[in-house]
Amino acid sequence: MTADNARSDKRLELVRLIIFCVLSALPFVAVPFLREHYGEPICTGEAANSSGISLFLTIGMISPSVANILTRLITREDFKDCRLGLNLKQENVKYYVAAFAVKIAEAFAGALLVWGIFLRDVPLSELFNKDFFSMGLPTLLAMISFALTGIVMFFGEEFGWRGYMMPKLLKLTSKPAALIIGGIIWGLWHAPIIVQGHNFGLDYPFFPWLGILLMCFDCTMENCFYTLLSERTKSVFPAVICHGVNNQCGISVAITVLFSEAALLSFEMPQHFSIILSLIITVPITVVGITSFVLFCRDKRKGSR
Amino acid sequence: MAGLLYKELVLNKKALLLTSGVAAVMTVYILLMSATSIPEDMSELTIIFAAIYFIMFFMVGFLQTEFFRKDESFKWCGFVTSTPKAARGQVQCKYYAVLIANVVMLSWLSLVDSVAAAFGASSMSTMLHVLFWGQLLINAIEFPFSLRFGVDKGTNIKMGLVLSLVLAAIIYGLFGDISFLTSDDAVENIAKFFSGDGMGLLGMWFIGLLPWVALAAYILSCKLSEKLYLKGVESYDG
Repeated sequence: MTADNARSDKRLELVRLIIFCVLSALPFVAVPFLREHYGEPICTGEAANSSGISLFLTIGMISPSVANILTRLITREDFKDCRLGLNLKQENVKYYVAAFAVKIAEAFAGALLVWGIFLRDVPLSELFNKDFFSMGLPTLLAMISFALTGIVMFFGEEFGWRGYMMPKLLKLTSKPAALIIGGIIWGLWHAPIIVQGHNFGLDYPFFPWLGILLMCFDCTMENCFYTLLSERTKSVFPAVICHGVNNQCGISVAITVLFSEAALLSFEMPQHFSIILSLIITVPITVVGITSFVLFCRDKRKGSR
Repeated sequence: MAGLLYKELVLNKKALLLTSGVAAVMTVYILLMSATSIPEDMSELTIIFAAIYFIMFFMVGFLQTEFFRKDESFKWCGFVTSTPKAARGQVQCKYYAVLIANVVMLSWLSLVDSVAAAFGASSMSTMLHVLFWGQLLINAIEFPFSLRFGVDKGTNIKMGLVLSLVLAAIIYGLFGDISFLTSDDAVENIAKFFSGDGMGLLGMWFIGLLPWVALAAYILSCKLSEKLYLKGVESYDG
């Protein structure tokens, strides 16, 4: 009887997860129609700069949260364990700080890799931005502060992925499998817009499959870190902050604030630079991801699944 | 905490409905004006929208005053202090409630701004950013006074702060460079100011540091209010 109950509970959780995934992906049904309307891929060129596409992407980013709420209502699940508290206890403060610090460190590590690969020939005296403290730093602070203010969009994703999907996956399967499957689902969710040029553009080898694969890999690594933060604090907000800082203060911002204008102008952009840059930033993301994966899977604390 | 927050929601239903009603009307106005205006009118519209966003945050300021006023009762404060949450929980609940109200308004206005921008209006995300964090900073100064000396005193402090800013702007107007206001492009210049276009270095520092200063002030203000709360309770009626 107990085994039967456990099996039927798991079946119910699986059904909920499927409903959630379908509802999260629903807005992207509009992508082919938008492509038709704009006459070009919607994430590149003039279409990408239009306010209509910005609005569509904003709605897309909120859809996982809406899916969370709708799934709970449809399947008559309660709203306990929504992870909406801040849980700002002393032992959790370090996770909130890590949410900022790790992402900024990743961006700068990526920038240093760009230096190592493409800017080695630039003399050190000309490489770094001499106005870093007067111009670079305020720009970086402004971007981070906009990440805080844009919290609603990033909350829109994280309330769905870390607030609903990951707890469900952790109930259904082992920790390693949950982290990997969750990352792949999150990566594949981006697939309709990657085909439209999001993140990587259109002109890279094996388009769009390489882009989708890279996105799945990056999302899996990111998922490890975000899940570690949200499971340790029992709150989605560290992951929200992390996501915001990741989107607003990526490698491009780090390159712009760290290196001088002369160094950047001397740089000859290779073909397929977007995807190359994404591959470069994957290195620090992977380091953080693997570390988080190990820390999370080894966690034998009371209360951790 | 959830229980105390639910209490805030129930006790302040009317104020919440009023704020929501005003927000709904303003939203419809913004969207209609954005959809039906010609590009040449966008600068004037930006200024009107800036005023509307300011009014919406002012409405939240009115709402948060009600959060504090409703609990200015000696019996209630005595009761809640005897519960496991104690005075600390009561104070934290107020701060959370105000933060949630401001975040909800910011989220709603950000969405409205995105839709208005889709229709061709200028995006005002920078101004929303400043309004949100500026409101939190002013709250951080006001709330300890509200809890220690009463809501009326706290509101007076807030008005004093706002009037100081207005006075500073007037003094700047008297002695500073206001050529951007007197030129032929005055309307466009004001619209650019509100939408954050062409922000200088000082503006970037201000935008970058404001959230951190506001957050730190808000947290410290909460800690201070926890210490002052019971002293303030002694002066309440009922």
